[in-house]
Amino acid sequence: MKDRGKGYLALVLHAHLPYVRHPEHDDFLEEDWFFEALTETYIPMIDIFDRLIDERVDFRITISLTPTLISMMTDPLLQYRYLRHLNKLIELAGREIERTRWMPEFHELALMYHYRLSRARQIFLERYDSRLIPAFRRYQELGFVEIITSGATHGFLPLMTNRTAAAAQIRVAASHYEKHLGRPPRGIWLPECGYAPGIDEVLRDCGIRFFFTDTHGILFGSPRPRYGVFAPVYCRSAVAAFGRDRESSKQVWSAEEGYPGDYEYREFYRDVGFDLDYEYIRPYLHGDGSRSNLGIKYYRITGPTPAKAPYNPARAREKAAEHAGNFMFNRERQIDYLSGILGIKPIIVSPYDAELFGHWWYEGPEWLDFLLRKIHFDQDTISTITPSEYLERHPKLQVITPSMSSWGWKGYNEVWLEGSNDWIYPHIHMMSDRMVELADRFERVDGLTARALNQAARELLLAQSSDWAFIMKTGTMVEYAQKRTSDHIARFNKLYHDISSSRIDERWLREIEGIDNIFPDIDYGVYRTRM
Amino acid sequence: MAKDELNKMTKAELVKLARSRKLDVTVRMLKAELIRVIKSDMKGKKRKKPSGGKGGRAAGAPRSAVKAKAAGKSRSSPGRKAAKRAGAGTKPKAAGKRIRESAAPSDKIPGARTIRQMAESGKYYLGSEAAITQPLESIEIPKEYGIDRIVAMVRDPHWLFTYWEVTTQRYDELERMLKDEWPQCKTILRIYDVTKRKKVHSDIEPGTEARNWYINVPSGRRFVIAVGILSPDGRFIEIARSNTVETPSGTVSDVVDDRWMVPEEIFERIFAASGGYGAHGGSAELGELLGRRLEEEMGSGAVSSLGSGGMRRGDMARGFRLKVATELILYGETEPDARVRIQGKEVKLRGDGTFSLRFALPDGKIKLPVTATSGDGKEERTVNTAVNKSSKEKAPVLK
Repeated sequence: MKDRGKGYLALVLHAHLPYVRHPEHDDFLEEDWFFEALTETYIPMIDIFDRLIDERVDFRITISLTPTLISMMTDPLLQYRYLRHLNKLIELAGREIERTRWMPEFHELALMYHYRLSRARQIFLERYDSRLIPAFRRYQELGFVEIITSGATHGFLPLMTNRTAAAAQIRVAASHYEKHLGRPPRGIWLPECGYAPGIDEVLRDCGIRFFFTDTHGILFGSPRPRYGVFAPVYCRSAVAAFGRDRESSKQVWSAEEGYPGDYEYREFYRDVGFDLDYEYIRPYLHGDGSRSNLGIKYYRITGPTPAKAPYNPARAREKAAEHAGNFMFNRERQIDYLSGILGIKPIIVSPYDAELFGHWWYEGPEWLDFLLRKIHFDQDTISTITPSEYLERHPKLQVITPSMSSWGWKGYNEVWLEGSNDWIYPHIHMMSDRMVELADRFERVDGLTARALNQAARELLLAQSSDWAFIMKTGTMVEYAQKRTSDHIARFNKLYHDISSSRIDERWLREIEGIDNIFPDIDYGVYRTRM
Repeated sequence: MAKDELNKMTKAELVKLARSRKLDVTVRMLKAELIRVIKSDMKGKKRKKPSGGKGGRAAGAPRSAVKAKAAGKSRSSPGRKAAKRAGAGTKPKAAGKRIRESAAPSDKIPGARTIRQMAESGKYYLGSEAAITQPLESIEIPKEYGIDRIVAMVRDPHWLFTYWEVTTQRYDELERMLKDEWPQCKTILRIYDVTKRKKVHSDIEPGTEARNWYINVPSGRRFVIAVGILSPDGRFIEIARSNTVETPSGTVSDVVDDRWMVPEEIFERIFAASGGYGAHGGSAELGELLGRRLEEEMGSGAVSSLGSGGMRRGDMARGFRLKVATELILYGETEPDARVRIQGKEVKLRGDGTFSLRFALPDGKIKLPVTATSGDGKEERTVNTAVNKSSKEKAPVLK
């Protein structure tokens, strides 16, 4: 992209889901996390990027694809189950077209869902042959999108006491990235944006050149950041840190002025899974038959009232265009102001959880589409940029040590360390220490012992996912998060004892390998203290 | 019924059997899948009603005992150790490889691979399932690890978290060592500030039951925590010592880099533009929204059939409501090869010539002419149906 305008906008989408895949069950509620994200976020996003590129709209955006998400997107069982899920929904949408025949407002919506779901299937199956990662890889190779990595299983790094184990999160992620995207990652989205001094050194050792922190990570860094969060800084390790802009974040997230709460937008909490007659909807629910969201939602937010009005996609789309225009206008004003006081071209870093777009905020993908088009066609003040491009053009940066920080509630580590979830750490830390001990102890082994060691590494990584602690804190689905954590702890400890006593249960190991099958190529040697 | 017997049945027979047990099955399910569903249902009912096998036909019987509840205790039910089956060793990786191989470029017909992929994935997934015994019920997570240790963690600028373990052997040793003093001894945590020279910051007496503690400390300093015994004469006998942790400053730094100096008032403006005067919060908005999202999205387990749809905070003063909707089911049958139109629109018949449609019913009169044309096109029959629907909402009555 031409270096036009007075400043830059770096949009960053963090795409992550924990590894949820249960071959031991025919269908599994939590796998819907992934399926819904595909239908509502990732496939629409791919659709948008494809069209932008076809229509020669120049744009830049950064997307972090976590290794767990990549693993699920490339898993044949989940691909198969996604199609099964999608086919059921398309069938339901078809029945809805009939059912709503005399209710024109809902009938139109049923037609819309049928069309969109069918289109999702067409993109998934026919355009991409069930494999979405090559789409992202192509965007990166064409220079529009920079794909960055994250922790292997999204482990929250500031709460890891064993540095070798923390480094393994990054090393495993980097080699996984390289396998799927064809080159090593230049940047990383630290899980939960969690940073503590020293983590940058681990990144440097893995060849990673930049990361992001929340606003106060940079603002409270030492010495003072000369340009606030409007220029990246170098850590002493020469790894660059980009700080999150608050103003652009507030525009999306603020309870009062945030876009997703607009009354024209689709209401997330009204879903046919709850609204329609039980017997009718039963075939589309999960095996145990309890009602759950199905993704067909007929109402708009309407206002602070329980009497919701039917959703009108055309009006919502107009709103999305208006909001995109508003966002761009505000960034232009922000850049005008900042370039006046800074004396350099400012960069505004706007990271969002990718699932905001589409899953939570149904019109989010359209908003993004409008925004990128408007920036390309309608103005000259800002240009979108990726961190790598910025660093190439502006290699001279101030050196500071960022402050410990995260983008969680209250800005530090409390979300993942409080009464509901602090019980996990004695186990996870012990597992980390023991994994390192095993890797140092068993230098050259193969066959069964190596398989057991590799599986122990997988169990540790899966136990470390920040999602479990997060879910325990948020208070629902807690049992699942607890069970996942306990399972991984238990499996690891059994492996540890079996390996130590040279009594590996091959049959059991094979089962566990089939269930917790993430990172098929992992080498437990990443846990060795002497590399 | 033994599994062998089920295996001998045809798929159609299995579907019939499953439906007679009120199980949700479709003809598209694989045979093995059907057998599994039926088997689990039998087992589930046996557990519930050990005395008789008739439970399966009772109208109120659970539809399927296979599936877990939302957060899954039954997922790991210890009773369900799947029998080891012949040829059960197929690993997911092998199947995945097959699928990738099948995606060779020669395979150009759209959709062709799809069916194969689905079939192969389907086979793979059942095969794998057969290999899996319900894992790990017998393995519990350890309560302690038998090692004297203490670990410190930072929660935020003002709070540390620490957990520790002291083995009974160690306590026994100390008891032998301290003899008569032992009953007056206390386990304490000693917090050292090691920012510059090591000095004691504070002592905490957590009591005998606690294994972890949150500790209030100043920001921007380094700490080490020791767990040990405090004797009545004030001696501290250390048992274990933690890693070093540093609390973040929680504020803007005093240190200014000479090479990147700006006048204070300019920095003030940059700081303000960065959101510096509200930067302590992190993205609370984000965390909370996403938290709520997870909660709403999956919190289905306990929700009654009226659901939580659309209820936002403070929506209604009393939380009482009534929603009524009317739907119409129109069904009938004709010859399997006939063509049926309702309101002029063609309807798809089931294999046996039956059809059924379901409509949401608005107020007013709806006419539903149903016309069937015989397969040879020589005969036509019509039934004119009409429905009149009205609903009126009365003003609420508060008693």
